[in-house]
Amino acid sequence: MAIIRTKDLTKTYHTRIKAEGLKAGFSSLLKPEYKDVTAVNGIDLEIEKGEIIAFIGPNGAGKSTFIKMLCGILYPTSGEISVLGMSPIEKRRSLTMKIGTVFGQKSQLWFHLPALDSFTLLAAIYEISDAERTRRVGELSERLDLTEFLTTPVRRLSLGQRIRCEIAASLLHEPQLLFLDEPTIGLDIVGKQAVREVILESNRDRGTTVFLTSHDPMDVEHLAQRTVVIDNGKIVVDASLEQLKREYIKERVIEISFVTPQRLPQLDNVKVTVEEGGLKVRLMVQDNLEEILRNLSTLEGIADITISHPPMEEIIASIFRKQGEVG
Amino acid sequence: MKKHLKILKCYFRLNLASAVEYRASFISQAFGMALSNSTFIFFWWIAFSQLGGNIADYSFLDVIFIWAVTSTGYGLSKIFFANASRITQLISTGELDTYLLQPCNILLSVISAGTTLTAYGDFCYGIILMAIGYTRDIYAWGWFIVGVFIYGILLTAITVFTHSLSFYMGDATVLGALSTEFAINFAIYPEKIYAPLIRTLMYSLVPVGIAVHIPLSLYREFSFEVTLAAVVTVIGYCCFTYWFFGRGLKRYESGNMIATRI
Amino acid sequence: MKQLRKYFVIMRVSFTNTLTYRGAIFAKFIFYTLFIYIFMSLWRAIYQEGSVHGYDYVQIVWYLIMTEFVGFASGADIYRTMNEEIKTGAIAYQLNRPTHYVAYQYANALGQSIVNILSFGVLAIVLGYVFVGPLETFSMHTVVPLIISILLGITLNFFICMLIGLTAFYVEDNYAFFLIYQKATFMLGMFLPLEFLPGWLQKISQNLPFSYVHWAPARILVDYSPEIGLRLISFQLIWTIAAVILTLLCYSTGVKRLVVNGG
Repeated sequence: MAIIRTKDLTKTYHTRIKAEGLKAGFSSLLKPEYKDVTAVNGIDLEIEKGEIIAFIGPNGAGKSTFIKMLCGILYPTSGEISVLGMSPIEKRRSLTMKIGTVFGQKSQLWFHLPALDSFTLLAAIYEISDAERTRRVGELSERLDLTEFLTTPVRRLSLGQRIRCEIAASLLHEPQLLFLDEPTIGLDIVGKQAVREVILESNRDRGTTVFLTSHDPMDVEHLAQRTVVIDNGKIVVDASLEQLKREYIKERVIEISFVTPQRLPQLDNVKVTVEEGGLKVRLMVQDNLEEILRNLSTLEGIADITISHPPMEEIIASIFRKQGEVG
Repeated sequence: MKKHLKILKCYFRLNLASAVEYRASFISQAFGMALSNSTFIFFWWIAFSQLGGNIADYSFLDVIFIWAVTSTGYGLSKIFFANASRITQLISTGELDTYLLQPCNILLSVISAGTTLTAYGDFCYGIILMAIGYTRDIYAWGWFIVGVFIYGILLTAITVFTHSLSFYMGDATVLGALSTEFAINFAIYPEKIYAPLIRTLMYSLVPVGIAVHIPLSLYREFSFEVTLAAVVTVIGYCCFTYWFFGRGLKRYESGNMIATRI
Repeated sequence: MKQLRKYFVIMRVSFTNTLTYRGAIFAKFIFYTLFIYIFMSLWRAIYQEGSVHGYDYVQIVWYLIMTEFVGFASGADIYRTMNEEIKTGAIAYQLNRPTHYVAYQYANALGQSIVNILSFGVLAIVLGYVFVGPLETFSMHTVVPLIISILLGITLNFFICMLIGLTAFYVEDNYAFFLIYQKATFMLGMFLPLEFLPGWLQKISQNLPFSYVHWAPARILVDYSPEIGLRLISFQLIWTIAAVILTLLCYSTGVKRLVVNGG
């Protein structure tokens, strides 16, 4: 059964054009000019129960507008939405009982109070009984390792601790559907890993459907079973993880700095950029990482070497390039 | 309904707990507000001791009554529903999202999610004034309590109404502050000092006259018709505000427009 | 000379900067008009019961236009600025600048005040004419002493607020001091002419600084005579000098403490 289904979903913002300067300011006060901006342009999407979906695209592509319509925050301009069999607009309240959200910078926690107090409030809001609340808070704090700082005012927690509390807050009412907007932004590697594990566990143990956006390719690679790329309010790619890996995220970037300029050995299937007169090289490697590394090990005078994923922007750009070739 | 009362209680408890986190400034701010209000009574004391009798048909005791109702009513509104005056900010930064994602009545949870420290001082100050001016006059205390509840509710509704304009016409911060200023100043002076046109405002757009001057006149002389008309107006105003906020919510753009520069 | 030029430039920058916030000034215009309207209505009702202490109705309205004018023209919220700079430790970064911190803040505030004096000055005169008509007792001889008195009132207010803000070096929460100051100026001159108070309170208040912020310029405006002008302005001057000295003292000992204790 499809848990989310949208048909020709569109959102247009009606924006007033702000005029600069005093004179223009006055005339725009009397006769304002408007401009329509289409953020989401006819999206059709179906998501099955238990899927983990990554929703990616450049800034301003319409990601958050789309998510906000699914949650009932924004009214669509036209088109249909059904989430868990309900219309988010008409059944907002019953829907919110079944969905959980972590929206980047927007906190559900009370800044000056311990997270535990916020949990008590959320339990009242989501109609959770006291006994049930105690059980779930206990379980979540064990899974997310919160026990030590549950009674510390939130303002004194580190970012990682706070995000873990945010995630616990959004899982407290055991939602069937979880929306995560940049859940790992600003975290260190350990923090990112902990967050990813909790998301996977929820998905595995309770069949929670997860809908996430991220700028971190590792999030997509570790979490998503399916990836949807949007641009200019339209879906550009809708692919499974295998497909995506095979076609798009297979690249690795190797960066090497040398003590003295070096000449690289002949390498196949690699894009090489030389910087600072040969002191630094950047290699875009496809699928023969191991072989390349073996070749590189013969080099002398290496000061530093790093291997990483290309950033999300480059992955997206390469997706768009491929689309262009196909289309 | 029962659930919302529970949530309201929970918000109140958390708000108070946040306030107590900074105990010293909580006490000095609340006390300071009571002191600050006293300066106005000082003014009236001077004015009445110079002239004696009545000013614009109000005696010194009448002034004490309207001041007490306004102060305690204002305190009530700002202790429980302080967030009403942050609605514009919540709209423009997109913070309103958090409330839209919860299974509660949106307006109710938005306005009860904040408190003002100084409001505790305002709340107590009115009661102290009543204790001094009307010590054992049970009848006066009765109308005082009625007035306080109506003032608290109306001030909240007025604030919600003006800030809801932000859904329709952009930043309404100044308008919101202005309506609060009206709501206070219409209430703490004898109504007859104002020109007739302003007095109509006091019973229509910013209807705080109903909360302050009408209870006083009913205390002086009860009238069934006036009571009925007042009750109908208050309920009507609140219902209209509730509808107006809900209608505005459909136009909410979740802070997205901030990113759009043309 | 070079020293003074520096502060003049600071003032000019602050002046142009304030000019860009036209929206904020316009919003304050609305509130100023509202307050004057309310006070006018109130005093009209009071004057229907009889006249008070030699002020006639027109004079009292002009009196209030002036006291509120000084309040709105002061502008800069130096009390809060000082509190924030001290609590966040930002004040330490100002130490190694080639300007004196107190003078820098004053030049900055003066730039804002000049914008306010000019804009609210026009509004104040318009409101007075519209609400109660011209002030009969006003003559051109009043102009110079009035301007001096207004500038002294704003300066005195600035340094007292700065002094209260600087106590954040020594006490945890100085809000109570600020509140007492605010309410004292309110009761002793801003809301009521000093002449309306009981005799004993007038005597006390004439020997305290509070009345010289609002009462002095307003008193000069409504009924000027060379004697009263001279007396009020010299009191304003004495209190301003005292406030400046105390501010400088409080600043230098506070900063020393900060340097020694490391914030």
